[in-house]
Amino acid sequence: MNLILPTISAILFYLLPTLVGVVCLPKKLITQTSPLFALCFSFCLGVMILYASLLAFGVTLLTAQPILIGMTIFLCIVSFYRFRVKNILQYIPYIVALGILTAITYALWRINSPLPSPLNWDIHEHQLLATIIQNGTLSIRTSALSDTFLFNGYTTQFHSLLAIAQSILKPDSATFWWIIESIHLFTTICASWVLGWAATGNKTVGMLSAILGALIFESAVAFSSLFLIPQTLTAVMGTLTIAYILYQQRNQATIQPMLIAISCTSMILMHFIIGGAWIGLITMFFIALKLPSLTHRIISSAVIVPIIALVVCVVGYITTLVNPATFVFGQAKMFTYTFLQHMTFFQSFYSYSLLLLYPIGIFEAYKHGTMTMKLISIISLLLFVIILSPLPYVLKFYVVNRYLVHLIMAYGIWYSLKYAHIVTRILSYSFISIALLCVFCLNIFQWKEQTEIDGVATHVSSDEQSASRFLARQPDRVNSLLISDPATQYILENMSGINSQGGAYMNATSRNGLNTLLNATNQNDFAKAIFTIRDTVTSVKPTTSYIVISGRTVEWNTLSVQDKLNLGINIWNPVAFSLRTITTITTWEEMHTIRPIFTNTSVRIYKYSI
Amino acid sequence: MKHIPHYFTLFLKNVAYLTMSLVVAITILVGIPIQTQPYVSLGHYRLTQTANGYSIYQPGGSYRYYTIHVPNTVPVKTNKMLLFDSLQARLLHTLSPVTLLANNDIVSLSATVTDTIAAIHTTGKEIDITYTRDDLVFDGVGTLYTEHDESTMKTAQYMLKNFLKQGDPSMRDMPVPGNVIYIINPKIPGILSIATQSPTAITIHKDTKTISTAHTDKAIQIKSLVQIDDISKNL
Repeated sequence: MNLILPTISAILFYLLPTLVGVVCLPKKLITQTSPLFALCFSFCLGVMILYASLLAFGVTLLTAQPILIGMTIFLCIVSFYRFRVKNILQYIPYIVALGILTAITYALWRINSPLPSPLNWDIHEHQLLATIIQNGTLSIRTSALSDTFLFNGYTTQFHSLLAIAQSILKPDSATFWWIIESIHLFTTICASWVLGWAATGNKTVGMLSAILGALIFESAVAFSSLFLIPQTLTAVMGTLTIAYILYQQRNQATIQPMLIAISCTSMILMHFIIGGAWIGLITMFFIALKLPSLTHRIISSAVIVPIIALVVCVVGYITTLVNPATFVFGQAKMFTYTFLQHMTFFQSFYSYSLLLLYPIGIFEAYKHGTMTMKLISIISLLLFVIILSPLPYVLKFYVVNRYLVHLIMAYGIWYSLKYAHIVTRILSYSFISIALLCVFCLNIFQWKEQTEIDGVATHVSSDEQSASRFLARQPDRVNSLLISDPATQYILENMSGINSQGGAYMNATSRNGLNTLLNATNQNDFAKAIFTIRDTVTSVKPTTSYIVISGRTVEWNTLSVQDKLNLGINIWNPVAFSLRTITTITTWEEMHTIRPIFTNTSVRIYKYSI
Repeated sequence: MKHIPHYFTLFLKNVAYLTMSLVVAITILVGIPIQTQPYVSLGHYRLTQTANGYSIYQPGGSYRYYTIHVPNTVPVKTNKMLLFDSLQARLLHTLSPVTLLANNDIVSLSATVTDTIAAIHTTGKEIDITYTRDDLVFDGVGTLYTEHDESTMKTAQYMLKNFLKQGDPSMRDMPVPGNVIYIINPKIPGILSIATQSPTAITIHKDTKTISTAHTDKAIQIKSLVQIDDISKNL
């Protein structure tokens, strides 16, 4: 049961909106295209319908479990009649192959990170919102639900979907995330395959694109394939929408504007910036394919690729002369990279395969490819101009470009070996795949090194998990406030359900208060410091404070005051108590005559009634 | 017969394709960036190779290393070779013990990845392990060979349930009774145990802050205990 409920809930995250979409989409639209695209658009529509239902009728719907279960069964039966399952049987061999590829990739990713060890830092804030929604509060704005969100970069559509999927069977959330990220990986690999196949009509290109999509992990900022977050889910939806346009165009079938509108609306609700980028991209494709003669004239111009290549080089050179620190401030400064830093990241993700295979792909696409391939090459190159610029967070846009880049690389490999014997081709594909497998392994192992504790790669140690279970059992947790260093309270707020001020994004007043609390030399300062830490969203006045001192807290306390106030600096990895830490904590306890109500080798919890 | 040149050309073409793919694959492998020192996990510590032998260090902490000086016969591996050893160790994580660094027939080091390493040598020379001023070094009966401030001692006694008793501070070179010695670094969680095959093989040199093993003893075993209280399970 430990695995069954989270697995079913993770499947429901994708299945439930798809079933709703299949039932609600006009049958004509479902049958006029490949069933793969019909499923994608059904998901996009279903997500919006479910979200709108929650907003319209209230989150009390989530408490009616029998109704939700009944609705799911009803949707399954109706969908079975509306969506001809036999249509999808032709894709089964490919789906099995992609499933095996997913299993290998995910097994390697999780090799020293067993269930339920989380590796995705962002899941805590998303799960926190999902829990708040399940508890009966919903707003379109994320910042209205929790002060962990300082900026409304997306609506709560993603979190509502999480809440619906979890409210039916109430799974353990850590296990749920561990499993759902494997399904997300599968969907990203499928999206790469579908785009490759739709753009070229060649399933080998699709499969090579899927292999590249599986083995290349952006281990900084983008995290497209292995982390399920709003922007990575948006990217899968965007890729399938573009694949649909290309597929319909290639088969000279009608592109249904209604389907495109559904997808675009759903994407923008999922993530404003990445959804907006996809809409821009889809519009470019749409216009280019609707005006073929003009597109042909522009694309066939002999100077277009050299001009774009020159722009990339000039932008690259200029950015080496500019110091981003002169015009970017605050947290954004930590996510602003120069051209050379970007290139270092890309070397970690791809080794030299990007520099080798991407130009070959562009060359082959331009020399032998269709108009679609030429268009994809130009758009991908233009996106690189943005991604390599020294602006904050631009590497996030790589979630958009990665699918196009992998398609171009796959096309280059396929075309270069097109005339080789089948055995030679298979051997050649194997050599390149094995080399990329080594890149993937070293990339993920080097990334996971930072998170390792006692041989297990995780953001949350087993000690922190047991502390969260203890806190979750406290009867007065609704009227309580959790106080700890930003990282510890970010994790424990989500896992225990006790509110904190801002989680990892606690404000300057609270950070100063915590600093005083940890370094107070008398009872008066200690008590005053506790009162300075207050939640900025909820109006509930806490009656109890749970002060949590972990290894992270002691390490946070060793930072300079400037670093303590910096939102971008956190103790990201679990830290166990050392002999010196225990000495420090014991002295602190004696000074304030406070005794822990829970203790283990990494965490001590104190209860303070206000 | 007239087809032979055609088949030969075809063969040559395919050899060229294969060579091209191999070159691409090798170039990709060569371009893999090595950003960190390769290692194998050892509880709260990590094990890596250095020019002098091996180091046990705390991840992220730049201040603390235990250096295992293995005599001058160990060829130092390149970062890349070590990374692949380390990778192999992780891929075989569940198979314990894993041979981590197998050199020629002179020295080998094996690790169970998470908590134990064993250094074996056939050179007939001693293996030294260095410690620093902060470390608490004590033996299996609780005799403490180093000196510390009151608060550290108080916490250590509390954690070890009054197990420690101060040794003779005037002695500079001290043979250790038994075949095990423990090291606690106050800044690093957990505890290291070092065991030799035969009793009375360990000597502590306070002036050089070195723990040496007898040259007749051909193997030492180093274990990381994740919690300080775990020592009670080992006594």
